[in-house]
Amino acid sequence: MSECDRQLELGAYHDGQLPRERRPAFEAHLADCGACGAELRTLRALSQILSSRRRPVLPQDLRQRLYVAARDAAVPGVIRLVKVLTAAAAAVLIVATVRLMWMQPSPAPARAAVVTAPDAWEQAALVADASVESQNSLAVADRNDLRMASWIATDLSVNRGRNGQN
Amino acid sequence: MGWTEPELLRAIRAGEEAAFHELVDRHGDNLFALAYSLLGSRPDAEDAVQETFLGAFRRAGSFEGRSSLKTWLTRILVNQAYKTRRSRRVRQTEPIEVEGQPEADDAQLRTRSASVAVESRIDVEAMLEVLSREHREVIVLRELQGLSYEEMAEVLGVPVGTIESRLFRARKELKQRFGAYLE
Repeated sequence: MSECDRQLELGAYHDGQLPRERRPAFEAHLADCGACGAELRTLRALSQILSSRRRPVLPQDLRQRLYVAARDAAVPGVIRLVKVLTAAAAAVLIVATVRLMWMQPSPAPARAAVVTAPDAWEQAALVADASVESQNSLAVADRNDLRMASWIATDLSVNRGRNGQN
Repeated sequence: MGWTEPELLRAIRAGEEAAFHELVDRHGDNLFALAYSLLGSRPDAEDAVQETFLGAFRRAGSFEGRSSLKTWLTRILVNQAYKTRRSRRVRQTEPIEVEGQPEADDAQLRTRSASVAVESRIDVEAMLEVLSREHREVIVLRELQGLSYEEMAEVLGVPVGTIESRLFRARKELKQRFGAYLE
């Protein structure tokens, strides 16, 4: 008898793996196709022989060895508890960190203020060549600051002039 | 203990000893039968099953549960059996005693004719032995383990269409070689 070209479908039908919606059409074909009918009987006989084989069970000594291996591989209860607590603590820490980041104002302006605020001697140096009114404001600077400012304004500018000539 | 699959899965991930025992009790017999079918040798089957469970215990924490435990273990075992076959010459097939059943007790086979029962007990090993690794795997997983095509595809890591064509070719080969038994 010649082979039918629906053999793959027949295999799936035999295995109960043909989708339900395709079964009626295939069963209609099966009723008319002698090749598929014969092949189905052969597949059933083959399955019967293969499945008739007695199934061995897990040997008892191997089962005991596996139990021992299970005990060795198991994570002790205390360690499991520590793991759970560690995970919980980590989660709380992450949430708290994220919340703090959202709530805290940006520190950038404050830092800028600190950086730009000049020291007393710098103020004095800046105004060393300025007007008398500005000089009066130096009353806030102490004597040492004034001396330092004077040194920077005079000695250093002289040196700068020499270097420039060179 | 009556674990449901999700309960067992959670306990296995947590590394509970009782869950590992349950895994052995629930799947040990089946995996041993599968290993014996694939390897045809009792010592090799024992080694493969032991390595399978040890691997499962080690990897339990990372098992994501996308497949069933049965499929997961079967996949590990099939890979292990392949390694065993490859790494050493598989020992000669030897008869295996079914625990708790004396040799004369053939109750499981009484529903079939005596001649077919005797022949089939002799020939199933021989039938599997002639097949290539790929064909043997699909025949064993389908005919002896009763896996669906989708489960087989997952275990072997191939598309369902490949499973269908491999099964077709494997059965064709068996029919050609052992057609006399199928009359």
